[in-house]
Amino acid sequence: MKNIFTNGEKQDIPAVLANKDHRAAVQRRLVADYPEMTVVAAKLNIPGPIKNNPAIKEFFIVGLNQLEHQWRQAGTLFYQKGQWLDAGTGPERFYLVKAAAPVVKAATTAFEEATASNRLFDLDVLVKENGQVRPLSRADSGQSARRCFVCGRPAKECGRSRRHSVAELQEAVNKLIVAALTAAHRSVVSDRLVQFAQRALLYEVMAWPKPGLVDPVEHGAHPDMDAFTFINSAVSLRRYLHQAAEVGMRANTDDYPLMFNELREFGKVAEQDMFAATRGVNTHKGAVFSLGILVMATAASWRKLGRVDLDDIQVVVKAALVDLVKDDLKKLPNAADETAGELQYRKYGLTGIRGEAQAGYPTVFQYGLPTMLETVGSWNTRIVQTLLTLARHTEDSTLIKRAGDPAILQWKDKQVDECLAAGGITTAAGRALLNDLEQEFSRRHLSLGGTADLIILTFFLTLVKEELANGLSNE
Amino acid sequence: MDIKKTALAGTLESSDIQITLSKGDNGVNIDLDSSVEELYGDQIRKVITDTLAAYGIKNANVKAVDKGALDCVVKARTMAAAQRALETTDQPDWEVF
Repeated sequence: MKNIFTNGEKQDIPAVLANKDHRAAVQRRLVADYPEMTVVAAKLNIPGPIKNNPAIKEFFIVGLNQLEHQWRQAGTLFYQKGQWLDAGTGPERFYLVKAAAPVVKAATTAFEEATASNRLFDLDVLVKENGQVRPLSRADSGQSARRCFVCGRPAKECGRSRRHSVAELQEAVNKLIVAALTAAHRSVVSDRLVQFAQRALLYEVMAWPKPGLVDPVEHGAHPDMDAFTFINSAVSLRRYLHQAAEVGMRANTDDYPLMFNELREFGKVAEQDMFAATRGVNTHKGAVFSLGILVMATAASWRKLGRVDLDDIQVVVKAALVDLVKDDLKKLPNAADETAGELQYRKYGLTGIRGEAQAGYPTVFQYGLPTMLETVGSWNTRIVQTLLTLARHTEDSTLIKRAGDPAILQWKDKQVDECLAAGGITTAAGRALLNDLEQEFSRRHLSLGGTADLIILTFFLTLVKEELANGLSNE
Repeated sequence: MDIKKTALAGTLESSDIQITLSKGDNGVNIDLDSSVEELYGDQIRKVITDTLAAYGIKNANVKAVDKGALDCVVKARTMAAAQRALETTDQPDWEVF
């Protein structure tokens, strides 16, 4: 385990006592200046000579974010009133809280007791009594005294008798802080993944020109939807994407098929949300499936490794979907509500997106990702160029459905090859072919809907690689 | 040495002790309020008495409110109170410490 106590400025007793005096003076002033508010002084109990460093400071801020959240949930109004986060004697912050001192004390004690690592917080609620400012003690409200975080005896006894060595105390504190920061970083990464996923959905629709797809300029191939429909759809999927990240990041298991089953339940609700947002138009059904899987797998891989590893993300996807084709396609009833993918498996033996997904999205990893990472220029250039590459290497089930015949795939490959040979979107000749192709797709009512899902996945992974791989700050 | 004025040092926080020194004429009288009185009361009184003796203070009334301070903290706060009471300096003399 990482040891956070390898850096930090050692403090001696005079420095600690001088800081106590300074703090007491600040507290006296706050209590005098804001008689209608309750003053709370927040600090940490870090035994030993090192009382602050980047990890300790981050732990302090993350913990106080939770305290503030707790206050907001309770409807308690408060604001920050001064802090010193970088002092060698330890990070400290003061709050003014609009509630009676005993009420505030009950809440701060609840916070200190809420988790093992919150035990390191020392939240003093200050009252004025006989002309002196003093912190309310737990005994004032009949609460039991603090316990030692090493052995559980009354904390004051262990502190006074120096029962535990500094090394023993630091080891215990280190464990608590490392665990709390790991959890905090997981939550930050989850949020980032949700943002990447939403950007993927929105960037995909923004890019132009895209043959057979909706973009802000043209949507002839899909007269029932436009770019705004996609914005509505993407926004409606926020909760689902968050759930996908949480499933991967929180699940205390490496049973990936089980995680996928849970994700699918969320996915069913997400489809309903999407149809409600688009008035019944299928904008992102494929993306709900595939992007959800990739968000979940990226989160699970991060949980396992604590860093980005694209190969491992693919390993997790494969493990999660190991039985997908068998379960979904091989037991198909010849039902009336058969999807395009199911029908094409039955008629042509094509496994479509399920086969692609179960194999760990090889088209994305082998063709999409290298193209997007190597293509220079604007996001529009990178996305459209990658779209062409992906289109060339996909048996797009939406295209087959619209054409009614898999033979359309050869025609598609020939068109895309010509366009790419001319340079794709990076040359004037390529762009002219691309525009012609978009017109032809629209005229013939052809779609590259399956390829659109793959570009979304590729873009998501590109963001993971380019914006998350370097890690979080403070690590 | 005689105490010239009433002086206070320390806070009412955990792990600290607040010492108030005032004039007395009948030896060192310590009024101690401590959360660990039963276990450490005598030790705290001894540290206070010894520290005052090092400054030559033989008569004083001491009010001590202890919140679990270590001996070194008891000593440092007593020193600060003594120097303020003797009007020598506002800062503890860490050489004595």
